[in-house]
Amino acid sequence: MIAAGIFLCLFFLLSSTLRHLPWLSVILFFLTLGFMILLFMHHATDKLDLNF
Amino acid sequence: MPAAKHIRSINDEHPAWRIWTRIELLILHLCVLGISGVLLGAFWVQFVGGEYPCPLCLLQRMAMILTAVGSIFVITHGHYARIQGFSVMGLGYGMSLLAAVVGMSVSTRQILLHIVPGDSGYGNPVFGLHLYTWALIVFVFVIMVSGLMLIFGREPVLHCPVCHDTEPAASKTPHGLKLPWYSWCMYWLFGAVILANAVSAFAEAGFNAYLPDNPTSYILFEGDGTSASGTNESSPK
Repeated sequence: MIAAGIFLCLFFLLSSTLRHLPWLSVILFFLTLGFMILLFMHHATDKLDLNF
Repeated sequence: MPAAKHIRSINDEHPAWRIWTRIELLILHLCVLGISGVLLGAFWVQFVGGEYPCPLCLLQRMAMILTAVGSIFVITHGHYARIQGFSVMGLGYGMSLLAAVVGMSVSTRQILLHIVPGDSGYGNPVFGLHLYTWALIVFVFVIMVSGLMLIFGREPVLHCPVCHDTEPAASKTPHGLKLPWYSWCMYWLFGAVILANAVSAFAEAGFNAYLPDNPTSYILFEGDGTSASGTNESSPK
């Protein structure tokens, strides 16, 4: 569900590019990128038992 | 006497620069269409080839989508010369570069997971290379294109037939963005690809928070949608 949620974030980010609110797109970009990095860290540290 | 407004028009420029401006716009569209094509190709492998995307595969898809969003940002905000002093190109291509670096990290990790001699890798090769290796090539390509466009790209405001070289010109588009039809087609195709990925990821993970490392079915369609499927053993993804 987390992966599907990030894809939905990406869709909202795409929708935001149509609005006259460029900074909203920039903020959503960093938010989505942050979620992606957290998910990557979770999978990358799976075997280390860090419970990340 | 009021100061004359500095008005830049593409029609005042040398024909060579006019062509280059058009080529830039074409490159931006090709970047988005290329990423859409790669993602549709991944769907082909998923549904026709019967392979299930792993968590790292999905992360690479997300990163590819983010790289294309940078190009779309430049296209849709091309009517701005600058945004509070920030360059539209800098923002757009910066997004693409950051996303490509993250995507490259993910695909490099997946390549290294299967680099041991004798490991056949995850999934079947396509044109001799696994999808994650192709993904690495795509991300390197995006970094190169973004870097070149940052060096040789001209202000996207010149994509407009007549644009003022001033701060945000919202008055030019009072009823929403005026994008050409091909930009809208590209935009909605890309949006459909993102939504399809969201549905596919939800079907694969079901109501579980995370996907299994080696998925073997669509969990959403099994029992209560939370039954464990796939394994967390062996080199993942």
